[in-house]
Amino acid sequence: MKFRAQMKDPLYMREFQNIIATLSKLSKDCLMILGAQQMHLIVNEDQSSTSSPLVWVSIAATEYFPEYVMEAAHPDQDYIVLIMSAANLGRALSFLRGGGANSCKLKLQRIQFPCISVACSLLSTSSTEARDVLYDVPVTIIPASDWPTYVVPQVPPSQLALALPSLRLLRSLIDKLKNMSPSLEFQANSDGELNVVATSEMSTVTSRFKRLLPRFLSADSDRASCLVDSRKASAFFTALQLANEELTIAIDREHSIHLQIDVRKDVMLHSILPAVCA
Amino acid sequence: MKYTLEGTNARVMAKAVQSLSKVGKELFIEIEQQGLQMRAINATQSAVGSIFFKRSMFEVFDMPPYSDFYCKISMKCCLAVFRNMSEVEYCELNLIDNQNSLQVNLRCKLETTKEATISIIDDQNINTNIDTAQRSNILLGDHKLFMDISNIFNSTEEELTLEANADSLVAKNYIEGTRVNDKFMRTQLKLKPKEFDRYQVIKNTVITFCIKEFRAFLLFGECLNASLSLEFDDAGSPCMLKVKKHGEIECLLIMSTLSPDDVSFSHDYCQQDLTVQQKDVRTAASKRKSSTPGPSVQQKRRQQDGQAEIDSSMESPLFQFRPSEAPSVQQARMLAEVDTVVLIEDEAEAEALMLAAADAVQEACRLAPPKAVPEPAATPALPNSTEVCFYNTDDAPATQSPELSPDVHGDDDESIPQSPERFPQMRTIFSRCFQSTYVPREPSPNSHAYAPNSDTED
Repeated sequence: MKFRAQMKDPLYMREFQNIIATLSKLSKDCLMILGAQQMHLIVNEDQSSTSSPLVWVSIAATEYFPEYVMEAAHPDQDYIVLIMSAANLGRALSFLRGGGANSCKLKLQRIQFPCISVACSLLSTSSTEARDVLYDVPVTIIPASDWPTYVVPQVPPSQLALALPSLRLLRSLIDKLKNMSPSLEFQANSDGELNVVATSEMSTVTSRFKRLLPRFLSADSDRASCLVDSRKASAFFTALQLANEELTIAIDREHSIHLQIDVRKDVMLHSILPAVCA
Repeated sequence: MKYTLEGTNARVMAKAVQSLSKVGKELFIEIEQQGLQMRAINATQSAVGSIFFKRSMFEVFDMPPYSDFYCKISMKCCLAVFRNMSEVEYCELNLIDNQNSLQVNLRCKLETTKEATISIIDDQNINTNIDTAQRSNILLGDHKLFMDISNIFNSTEEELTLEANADSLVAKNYIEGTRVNDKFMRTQLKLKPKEFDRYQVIKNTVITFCIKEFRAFLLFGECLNASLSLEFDDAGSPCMLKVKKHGEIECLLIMSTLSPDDVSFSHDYCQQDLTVQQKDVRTAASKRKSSTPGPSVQQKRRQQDGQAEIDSSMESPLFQFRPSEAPSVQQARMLAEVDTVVLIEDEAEAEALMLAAADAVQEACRLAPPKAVPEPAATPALPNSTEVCFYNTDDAPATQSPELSPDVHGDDDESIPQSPERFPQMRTIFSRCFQSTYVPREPSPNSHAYAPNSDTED
């Protein structure tokens, strides 16, 4: 079983660190599935948390890692599946935020117990010398027999998907609405309108986003709506640490809302907010 | 006796009090002809910090010649007084009430005056006879550098290990070769000698000390914007952090370091085939807290050195209280002080030690007839503590562990007799009672290996 990856570009390193920081705000444990060409990071896989949504990130290895080597435990296996503490990984990568890092190496090792060694070479502002920082993040290796419980979630089918240009607006809005009502309704129609409705016993607040670009329209409908938990929605938006502002909302009528952020071409962050009863 | 400080100097003094508050619960003030010194000692007596303000920092330093003054005050009171110093323009310290109280007058902006009277608990002082002259290994660097070192570690980390070699300095939160918890994230920072203003490492050493007091002084060094110098010899002997500013402020933090005897090295530390399962016979607790087990347990450990690995602990207390002036009253109080200092271990540590001791005794009983009373440490092993001072000619109670330097004469009639030793036989009969019900010895299922390490780089 072997895994080694290296990053050299400061921009990519910062993005990767932002992704991990986002995940660490959502949950304690993070599931990492390493494929031959892809890395998946999944949080809240079992959706057992009432306040944090299912979020997963799929990264094409070639995007961030110019050097990426993955060999599974057995030749007929395709993946390495690991569970680790998201906070630990976030802390290990914290130096990548500053932009002073020259390179960062990830390596799966066993020193008393399996861990991912994160070795960064830093050039700090106050010194001319490069420093080496090494963090050994303890991981749990999941054997192939347990893999069926840990799968990369599927993007649910949806009737309508719209592109929202400003994350910040939606974030502050949902933050305030969550205090008003335990559930929020997202209504979208094919004219590019999105309504976010919060209903309480005293009042109903509707926020309308107009002139959004439809990303996807299925043939059978021109409108779709779904009621979701406002706390989960708020948790997702407050946890985001990415520099992107664009978001795609796809609604599967009465089932779920799928949110997708394209960090770059083959690096995507997804989240599913399941529907709740009124 | 009156001492006054101008605004900025008063703020520096307030910062000094805040740093010392992170070290100890009481502030010892010593005022002599050259200036004012503040000291604090931590609960386990493994670190003493002292900050010295020279006479020139004070506007008025009214001290009768050929005299000096010591006192001990509660740190909480000091913190409350020196809390908000941004408005202060002038600070005045007075000793009133026949030297029983310290009055602090803070004249602030807009004609407001804050006055606080802190009652003096005691006139005790801490003294050490640890040589503060330069040690063989010296690291002198800017505060930013040491802050960088401190920042890579979590705020909950307890100890810092430095491996100093001629060509590199590695700062870690673990000791190479010891076994750590499954969930422990090892952290390591490697620095080159060129980063330091002065880097003198005569011999390769590894020292481990508590990071809490280190961080407290680092904070003070940062607000002084000064360079810090870390001086040490080798593991077991104290290491010192010195900060000097303009010749007016001198800070010294003496910390005890972990002695190599106390560290339990794991035999199975090294990269190995993933298929082999190592049984961990030792107790799981790996945190090393600053504490000294009672003398009886410590002696058992000395006997069973090779057979049982017991959780390491910091050395026995380095520092001793020194009573001043009135001996008749002081003695009783000093004994009381020392009593409370003989240490309060927390539950886990005590249990772990008892567990280990029970183990050790079981093995001893199997191998050799049990000794009725463990003999005092005749082993001439490396002394666990460095020179402990007993400055006063007054009788020092011999409640410390017997490994202390032989200069100490404890007067037996003054010393508090130790509790009767426990007999090992009882432990073997009822050994199960002393063990915690869940013995975390089995390897965790998470550490099961599934494939050998085939990385060609290793």
